[in-house]
Amino acid sequence: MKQKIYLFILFFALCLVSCKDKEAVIEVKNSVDNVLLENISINGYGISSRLLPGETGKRVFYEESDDISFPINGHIEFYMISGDSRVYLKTKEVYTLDLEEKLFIDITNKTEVENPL
Amino acid sequence: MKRTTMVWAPIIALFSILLPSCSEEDDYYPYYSYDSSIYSDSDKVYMSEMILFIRPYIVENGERKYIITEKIFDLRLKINNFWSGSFDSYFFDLSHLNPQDQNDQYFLSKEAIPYPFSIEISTVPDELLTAGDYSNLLNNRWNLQPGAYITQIQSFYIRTIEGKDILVTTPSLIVPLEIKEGVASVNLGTFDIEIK
Repeated sequence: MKQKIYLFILFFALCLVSCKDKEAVIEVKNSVDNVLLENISINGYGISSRLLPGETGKRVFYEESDDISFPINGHIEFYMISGDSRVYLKTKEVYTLDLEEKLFIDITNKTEVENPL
Repeated sequence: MKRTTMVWAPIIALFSILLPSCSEEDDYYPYYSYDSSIYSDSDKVYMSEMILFIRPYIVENGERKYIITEKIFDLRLKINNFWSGSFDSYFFDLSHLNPQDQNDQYFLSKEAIPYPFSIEISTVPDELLTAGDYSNLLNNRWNLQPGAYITQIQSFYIRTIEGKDILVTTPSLIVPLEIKEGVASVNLGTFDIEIK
């Protein structure tokens, strides 16, 4: 009887683990002097709404509950703001985030960016 | 009657919701930076241009005579250790000038001819490549901020009648420059310079 209980608990635990929704994590840090970064996103998927200098934003994507097909490929896009002025920018580099991966991107003064204009 | 009310009531309700959204927004003054990628709703003005005038002359028999030439070129100018550059004056069409005198080098006139310079003061790079470049642009680090500066006019070239370019150095021509808030351009002044 005890054996059956243990087998049942083991079976239940295995089910729990296998039913867990797979995830991918992306983090973006604002290391640019004296500017806010807002509406940070990748390929249309929002990562963070606002980052002060030195702040890191994080987004966890779930395969099933977010209904996203992986890998996610794209430039990091954002608005750079200082005072009353703002500019739309995207990184020149294209990033790839795959399932069960953790991607950290540091936007610094030296990060190559472009504006479509 | 009841049916008519049921038809018109939602239409009137919808119209009354939409009508205020058609009204004009509050006064809004967007100011567009000289870089087309920047959007700004600030009306702040930053100093971006300086003008000055050079009047070169020689002294003959104790008399001052002003030089007539097409233009003064490669005028080298420095502001503190922040910025330097070289510039040409406006071009004068000599065919419409009547020099009263000349020597073996220059056409001359008793009246002073001011050679104007319009100098753009900016250190914005030709291409903005990095997030740091855009940060500098948004924070106006490429512009001279209001305050006091030292301007040094270092040298310039002037061309003789024979087409020879003469270098004129002016090491002692140091001028204080004051930039006030909200001013886009500054007149540095008019300078008479003897050509020896």
